[in-house]
Amino acid sequence: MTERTRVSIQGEIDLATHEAFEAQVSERLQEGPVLLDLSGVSFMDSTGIRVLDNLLRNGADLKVARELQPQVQQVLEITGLIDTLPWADD
Amino acid sequence: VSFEGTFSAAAAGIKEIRSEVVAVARLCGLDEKRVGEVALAVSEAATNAIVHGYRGDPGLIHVSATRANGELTVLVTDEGLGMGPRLDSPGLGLGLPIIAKLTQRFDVISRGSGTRIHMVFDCPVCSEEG
Repeated sequence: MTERTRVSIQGEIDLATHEAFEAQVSERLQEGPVLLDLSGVSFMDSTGIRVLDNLLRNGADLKVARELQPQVQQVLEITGLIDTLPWADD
Repeated sequence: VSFEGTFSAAAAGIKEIRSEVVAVARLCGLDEKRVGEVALAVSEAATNAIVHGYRGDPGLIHVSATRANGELTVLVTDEGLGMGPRLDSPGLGLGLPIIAKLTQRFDVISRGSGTRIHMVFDCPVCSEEG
């Protein structure tokens, strides 16, 4: 099983914060595989979706923890990303 | 219950816009799932104003939220350049499709003098209070 660094994100991801979110995850990905923990994210809009989509398109070695707050789960469902994210328990 | 306010078209202000409209949505009696949907739609509309209306330049965003006749109506209006495609859009162009999915109905009026996004959410518990 691949050893992954857990990256825990807190707060809200929107136009104001999505770049910091992307930078934080990208930085850790340079050091190795990442387990992305979004359970502390209370809100995400399409800017966060774009960050996740970009990371995956660029071949990031990333898994996402299943624990999500309801609004984040909802935006992933609406955009269909819920079906393509690499989940940690898959 | 209603809210009306004007905000700087700055990314850092979107959270406050969401917060004000969410407060009205809660007063309407919407459950937390629906409140989350309103927050998401409003966030997309405000982002649209900043990214497409003002293209990062300073400006104002006018926001109103009103409940009447079983509906919560939210208007997000800017005085920018009108909507236009941007290859570097930070939201993949998902904003309006997301709004379409979350609202009972919505429309966009976009001119050279600005854009107005008009969103209507079902709010059954509002109906008796008008």
